[in-house]
Amino acid sequence: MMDKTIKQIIFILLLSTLLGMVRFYFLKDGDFTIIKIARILETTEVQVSDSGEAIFTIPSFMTEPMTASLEFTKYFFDNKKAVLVDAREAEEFELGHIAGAINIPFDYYDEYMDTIDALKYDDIFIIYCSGGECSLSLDLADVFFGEKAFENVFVFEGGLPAWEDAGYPTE
Amino acid sequence: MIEFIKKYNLPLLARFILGAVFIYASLDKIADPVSFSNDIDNYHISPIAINNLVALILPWVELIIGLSLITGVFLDGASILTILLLAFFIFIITQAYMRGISLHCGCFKTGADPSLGDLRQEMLWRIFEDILFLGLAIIVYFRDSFEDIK
Repeated sequence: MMDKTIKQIIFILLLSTLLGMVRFYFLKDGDFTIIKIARILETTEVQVSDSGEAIFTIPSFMTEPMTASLEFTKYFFDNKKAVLVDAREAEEFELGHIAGAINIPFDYYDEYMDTIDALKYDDIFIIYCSGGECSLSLDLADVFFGEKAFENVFVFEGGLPAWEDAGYPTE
Repeated sequence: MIEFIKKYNLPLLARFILGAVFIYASLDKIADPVSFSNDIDNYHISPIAINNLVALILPWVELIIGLSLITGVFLDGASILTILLLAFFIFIITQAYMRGISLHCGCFKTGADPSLGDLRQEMLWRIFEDILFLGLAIIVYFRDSFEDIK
């Protein structure tokens, strides 16, 4: 009885694997590979001025979103040159966010199209979420860069936890 | 309880309910494995490298299980797999909820469904739903035992 059940389970799993491979064969997506490769974004470079201050510059041409360090984000925050975008849910945003950030939750970005369309395509956008395990910022960055063709899109991977740990302004 | 199960032929009813649920759950994922793979990433429980493979195979497991439950072919194997899958789903959604991760579970549709309210509510609802389905799957697996009880 148990032998029969185990054989059935193995058959179902093998058939599913076969059908999965057939589906993969017919999938028209060059980026989709059997073994998934984690995306590693390029990091922005830092220059140091004569007085020893760090100067962050935006690359003249970006081919995909780049990562923004805590220092990079703070630099553009202080200079008010960037739009900080919180990709978390509205409820989480209400509980606390980087001062001056706007909220566009990735999971519902379709509903925020008016807000997105009102943004200037050549502004600097630094998108963040909850840090470490959160991929909402990267997903939203793909929408900004790929779908909306915004030119300067950065992902602050440390997110709100890194910002708070540094004692930087929140609201 | 046993009388109720026998009177309404609950194992048969459970088979059809679970079968329909699993078939429905598989369709969107089979159509869009790329989005489903991204949903799996958000659980942060498996190595990124295997998530595409899981996204390709798991929906077919669900579809075959659903068809088996409805037709009765390979019923024992399908019901055991249903129990294991549902227990696994309950575990992964619960661990994500407890770690404070807000995610769209990817249970039925890939991508978020705004009609379900906020993501954490959806996660709780899915856990509750999966517990109910797990109960039904256990009834299906032990269907012969109910027949034997006088």
